[in-house]
Amino acid sequence: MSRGLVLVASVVAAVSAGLVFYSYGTADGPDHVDVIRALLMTISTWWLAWGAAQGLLGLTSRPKPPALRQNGPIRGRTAILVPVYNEDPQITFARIAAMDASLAATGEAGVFHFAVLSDTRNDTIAQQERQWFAHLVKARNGTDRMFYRRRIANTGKKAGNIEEFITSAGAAYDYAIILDADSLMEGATIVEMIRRMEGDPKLGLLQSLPKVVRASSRFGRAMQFSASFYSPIFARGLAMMQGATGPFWGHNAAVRVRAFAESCGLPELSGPPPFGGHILSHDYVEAALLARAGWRVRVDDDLEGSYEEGPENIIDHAKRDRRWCQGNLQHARLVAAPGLKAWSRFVFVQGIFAYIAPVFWLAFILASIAAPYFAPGPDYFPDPFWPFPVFPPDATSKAVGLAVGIFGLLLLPKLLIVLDAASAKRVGGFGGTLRAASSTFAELLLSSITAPIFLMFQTRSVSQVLMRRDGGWPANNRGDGSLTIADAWAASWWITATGSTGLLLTWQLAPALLTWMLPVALPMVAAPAIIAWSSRPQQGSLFEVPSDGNPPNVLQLHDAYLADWSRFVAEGRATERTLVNA
Amino acid sequence: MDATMNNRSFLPAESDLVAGLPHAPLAMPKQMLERAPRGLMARLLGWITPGTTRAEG
Repeated sequence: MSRGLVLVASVVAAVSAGLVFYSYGTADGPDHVDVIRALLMTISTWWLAWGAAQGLLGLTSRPKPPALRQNGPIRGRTAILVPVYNEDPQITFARIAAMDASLAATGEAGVFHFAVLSDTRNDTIAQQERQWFAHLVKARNGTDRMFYRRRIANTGKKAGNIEEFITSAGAAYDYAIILDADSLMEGATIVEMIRRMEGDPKLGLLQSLPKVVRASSRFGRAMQFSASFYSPIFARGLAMMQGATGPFWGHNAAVRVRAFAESCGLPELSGPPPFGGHILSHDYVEAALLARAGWRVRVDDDLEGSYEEGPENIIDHAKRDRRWCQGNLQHARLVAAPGLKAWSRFVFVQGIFAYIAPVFWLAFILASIAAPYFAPGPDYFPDPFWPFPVFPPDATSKAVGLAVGIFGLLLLPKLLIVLDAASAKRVGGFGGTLRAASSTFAELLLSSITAPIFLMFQTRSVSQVLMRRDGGWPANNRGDGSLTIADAWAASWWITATGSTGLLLTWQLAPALLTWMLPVALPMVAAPAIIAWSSRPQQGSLFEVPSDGNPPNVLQLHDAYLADWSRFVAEGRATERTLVNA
Repeated sequence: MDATMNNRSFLPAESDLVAGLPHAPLAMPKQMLERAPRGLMARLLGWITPGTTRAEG
């Protein structure tokens, strides 16, 4: 019901926008470019309308409370899996110590094991992983319930890493919590998720909604605010639409090990990368395979206490997006996979669309610049038997109406979320109504300025994949992500060049469009400055989130372990110095 | 990355504390995701990308 409603609403909005645009574009006489532009407008608007409708659904609905077994101890045994790949082991293993301490406080820690699954390629880091793991085990008294293993070859990347664990040790566990190296979850949340798994024997996977924490840069803080303030509403809309064919985002989720083992063995796809070979965005595929086998896959947006870290600058975001783009486009091979639920197929299409939608916008802009060249000249005397000139109708109002409609799709859900949060008293952690509204406007401004830059990065990613250029799988650059203007220039000079060329061409070919082009072209011209500026630390209280004033318990525990372990390193260093001097 | 972590002397010997995972194998059969093309499509794909597709039946 929800799916149909959202689909119909978004299609109606898209077709309406296409028709209005066609009517506007053909005011000076129809031509082929007008048809192409109207089609591009229809497709692009559908994507915007789809997102907006999902937000509106989230605002107006409330899912049924999940079935859970409230009483008694947890019956099954759970492995908490922490795949690592060249990450800083001190920070990563301090997260495990924090989650273990948080679990201990629930009184249910006895049925949980931790397994660090290392795919680290760097031998020096691998050596440090073993040392820090030994330290973790000692600090948390984790013998026989904390495990570490490193694969010799990282076949199948993260999906292969999890698969190796299941095929070698999976039978010892009923459930697994799959994390990322930067994941943090409250012990109570982990316990609650396992209770929900036990309360629903057909539930194969339960996804939580991780909130971004520890952001410090302007860009990172804006993303963190967005994930904390808007995402729960959009996730509720998503949960309502997906029902039992829900998403898996690859981490901060609980799986039923038996269901996962019997349903999610991923084959290599025929042919070479990027479309063949190992499945990169494995999580979407695993969710689809669980649903195909009859297991329920659910996202519970009411689960709190689930955290992750996000990219601190636009370049790191674009790098991550490059991987996701390749993974999602690879799903084109799987849309027709046998036996999948129709919704799973649609989710693949939607994932692909997330990356090709900017290409449609770019094509629309380019077609608009070229349009005057193809437009027929004005015909003031269309009727040979009518002696007076007929002027083309003024279509300005249609253009303005269309622009208002499109901006409405972009802005309305976020503005309504502010109103909803204010009326539901959800703004407390965001600094109150006024500050939450200010943060929303600032986020809208920043995302508008950065949108053309992301449009270019995404377009390049899609082109690289289509040209069969494998993006590889670089380690994420987490931590302080400040960039110098030289770094930013090296990564984005081509965006500046493209924006400048676009402006010049518009000025020469379609000067009437120059005003419309400026909001797109100017951020492109200024891309290096915007990238460097947005990577600098955010001062002041803009983008305040609840975890600023009241850090979650597990974050405080992580800080405490990190401080303790840093002291330990410093003391070790001092001891070494003493020994050397002696 | 802290370079001092290369020096192991202030950490306990890893062999004392690192235990192996439980040995409990579980089968994880590979799933079928690619539908083998049939008829004209198989011929067409076989012609475009020889060796990567095979017609069924």
